[in-house]
Amino acid sequence: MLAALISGYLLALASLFFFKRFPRFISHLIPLLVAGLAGYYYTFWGEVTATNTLTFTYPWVSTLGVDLVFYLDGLSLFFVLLITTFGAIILFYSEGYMRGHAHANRFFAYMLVFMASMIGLVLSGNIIQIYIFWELTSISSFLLIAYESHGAEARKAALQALLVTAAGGLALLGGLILLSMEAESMYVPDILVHDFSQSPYLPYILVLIFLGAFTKSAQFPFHFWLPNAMQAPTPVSAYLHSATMVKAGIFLLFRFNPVFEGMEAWHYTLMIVGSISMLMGAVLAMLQKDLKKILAYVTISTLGLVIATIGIGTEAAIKAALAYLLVHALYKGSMFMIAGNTDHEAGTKDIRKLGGLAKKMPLTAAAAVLAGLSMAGVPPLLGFIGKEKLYEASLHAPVAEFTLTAAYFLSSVLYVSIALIIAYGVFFGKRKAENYDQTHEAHFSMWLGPLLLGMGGLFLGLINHALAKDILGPAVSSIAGQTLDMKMKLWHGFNEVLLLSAITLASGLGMYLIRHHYDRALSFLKKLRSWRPEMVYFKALDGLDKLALGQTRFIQSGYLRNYLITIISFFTIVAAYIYFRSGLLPEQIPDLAPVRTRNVYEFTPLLLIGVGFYKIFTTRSRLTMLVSVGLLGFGVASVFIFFSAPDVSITQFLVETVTLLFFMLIIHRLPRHHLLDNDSRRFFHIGVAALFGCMMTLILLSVESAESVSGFKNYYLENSLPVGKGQNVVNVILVDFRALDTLGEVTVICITALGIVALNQLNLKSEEQ
Amino acid sequence: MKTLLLATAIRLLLPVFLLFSLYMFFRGHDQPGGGFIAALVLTIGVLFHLLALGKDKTLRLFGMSTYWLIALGLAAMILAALVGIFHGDPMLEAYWLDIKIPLIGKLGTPILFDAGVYLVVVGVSLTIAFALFED
Repeated sequence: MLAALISGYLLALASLFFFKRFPRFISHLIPLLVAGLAGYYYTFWGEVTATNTLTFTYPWVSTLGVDLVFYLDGLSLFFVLLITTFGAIILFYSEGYMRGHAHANRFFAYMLVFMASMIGLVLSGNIIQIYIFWELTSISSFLLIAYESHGAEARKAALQALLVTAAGGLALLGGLILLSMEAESMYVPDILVHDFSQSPYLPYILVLIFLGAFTKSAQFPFHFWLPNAMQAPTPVSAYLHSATMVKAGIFLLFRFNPVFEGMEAWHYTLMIVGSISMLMGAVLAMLQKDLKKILAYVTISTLGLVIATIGIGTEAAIKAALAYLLVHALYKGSMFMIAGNTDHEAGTKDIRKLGGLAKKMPLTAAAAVLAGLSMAGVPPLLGFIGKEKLYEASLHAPVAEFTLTAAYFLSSVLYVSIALIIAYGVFFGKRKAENYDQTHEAHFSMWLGPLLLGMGGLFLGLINHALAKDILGPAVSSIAGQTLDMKMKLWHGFNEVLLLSAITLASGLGMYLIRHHYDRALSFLKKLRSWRPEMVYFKALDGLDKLALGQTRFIQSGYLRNYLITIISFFTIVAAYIYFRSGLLPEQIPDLAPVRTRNVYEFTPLLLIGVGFYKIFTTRSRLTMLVSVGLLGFGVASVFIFFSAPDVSITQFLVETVTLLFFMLIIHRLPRHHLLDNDSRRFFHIGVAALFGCMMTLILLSVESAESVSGFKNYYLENSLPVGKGQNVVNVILVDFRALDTLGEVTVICITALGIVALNQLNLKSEEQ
Repeated sequence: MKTLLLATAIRLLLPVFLLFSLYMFFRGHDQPGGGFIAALVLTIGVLFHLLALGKDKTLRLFGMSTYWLIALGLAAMILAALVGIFHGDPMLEAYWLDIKIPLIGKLGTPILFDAGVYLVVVGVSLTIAFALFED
């Protein structure tokens, strides 16, 4: 199981490095391998049932109670099959779509990283995994949206998607941690059986989980990132932004449905937010002229529909939600690829410029018809069954059955009309494309995928009985937290549901015919543009910039001495506070007798220090000042010799030398030395320096008297040779005992170097200007 | 600073700086010295070279960008840190080879780690020096 997960990431790496050398070979190999991966997961079909779940555990951070756990129940199996099957089909489609792109290797690598992360997410058996994979899908989505990275729009859209979904991810992390604290376990199966109804954290958990799910699934008011994300190449939209990633939010709601079932806040929030998104998405979709934008808004709408259906919470509703999820994935994946084909062959995705393409692209048209029929909900396609299930659920909802049914009806009518726009308008209407005559059918790899998914809608509609029993049944059981039998039928007899379906189709057709009036009637919506939720995002981003600017102006004076004063006084105050509060002041001054018995010549360094100190304050020449600082440093270094710390001493000598040489490199570039501060300011500086010195002395005295208690010194002295195999204790501490510290410090040095280089180049640039 | 005296002297002295720096490095585990100190010794030599002969001649000494030194150094340190992990021990666990080479001494992951420190410090100080220096 672990190997299967990792294989996706390895394949991504391989694609990154070897794609350019064997583009044809690799781009054909990838879908095949992904199909193989799908095949591997299909072997669990039958093994995983409503009562039988599989858990694969790999030790990870066992000390913290976090192991890698892959939890395969009906729900995760359903999603894994969806992800891998669609992955294989859409990657095969990408082979044709991306052919000849300069950075196709990156494209495939990101897609595979996304796929592997998505698989990881749905199989996650502990909350840490859920979070990690959740954010990985956000990041790979960011990379894919920004694939055309030279376009400013694409970069902006990518950043927006990342900020919205990653912020939601952080909220989710909070929610997950609260869940695990309450359940006292990180493992999903444990959390699922825990009773949270008495938990004081419940409101927070709910809000945080909702934030995670609604941002990811582009629900109102976080929906705005999804239409913008259509900047991504079309296979990405087909895969991430319709069939899989945006469904991660729904997966999350499904996953934790057993936990929250029966809580009013859960049901009402889902119904309300879902219904708003459903209606808003459908209404706005009809107004769009770009095929991909239409599909994006329909996606928002459909996700809202599924979420509202989860909110109903009855058995019938759960079944309907899952069934409609599959319906949507099939027709939407197909339609996106169809939009990609028209874009690729006819050169536009604008529905006003497309028409009558069926003669030129018969196979794509066939796929469009199949997908359109499923979207509209025409029997015997799966879409019909899905819609029947929805109406059944809403008509028997415990609350608000009329409102819900009306909302379903309205959005379904709009779906029918949109299906007609796409399947009929683009392929059978008047010839409109400018380069109609040059247009021809897309390459085999590009019509196979949409056609397969379209046929899938038909085929699954026909074998609905087996589908319901074997795949949807176990999934529904894990969503509901109890064993449920799932049944599907094409023919229910004459009843109100069938009547509603028929009226929906007829009204949809009517809506299609009056679509131009629809546009005009809703033109007032444009006036509301400045009130859309996206403005909050822009305002927040803008505010962040302003905040950063303001605080930079406040903190960054640009004068080195101010920085030094700030750092030193801050350190002194904090150190003094902790020092005196915890009573670290040694009770008696440590015995300084050894110092007193030393020879007189050992005081010569003090003379050096004194002279250096005096000259620094009195000289007006920068060079003299430099040399005086060096003198002071050498004096300190010689003190270390007398106290038998040769390593420290050598280091100090060398550092002083290097510092001096560095100054020599730049001294001619420095301006003439001025005294910028008046006397009172200078005395203030001296005062701060003196306080800092006193504080350091006090700390050292305390360290000296605490040394005998802690025993660190002796530990290092005794173990240096036997354990560290070295006689130089300082060096053994640096490279062995406390090597991690050294690693950290060295990394800091590297970053400093990069900073200096960058600053210096900034300087050069401004000079050139 | 471009005096003939210094320029001639540093050409002759630079190998000595290098040799001394290596000496400081390898004695470091048992006697005063070690990667950081050795790196500073070499840096001082190269800085003199830079001051006396200019950027082009000094850059030519290395044959590669100083960024490479930093990268190699970090890589060496991380490699030394990973040896323990692959043996199932904590990160940075020390491993020593049984052989002892004359003049150089024992070899083990702490020495590799120290070599990483050496390379990084040389790389960083020279990167900064080259960035600041103008002929």
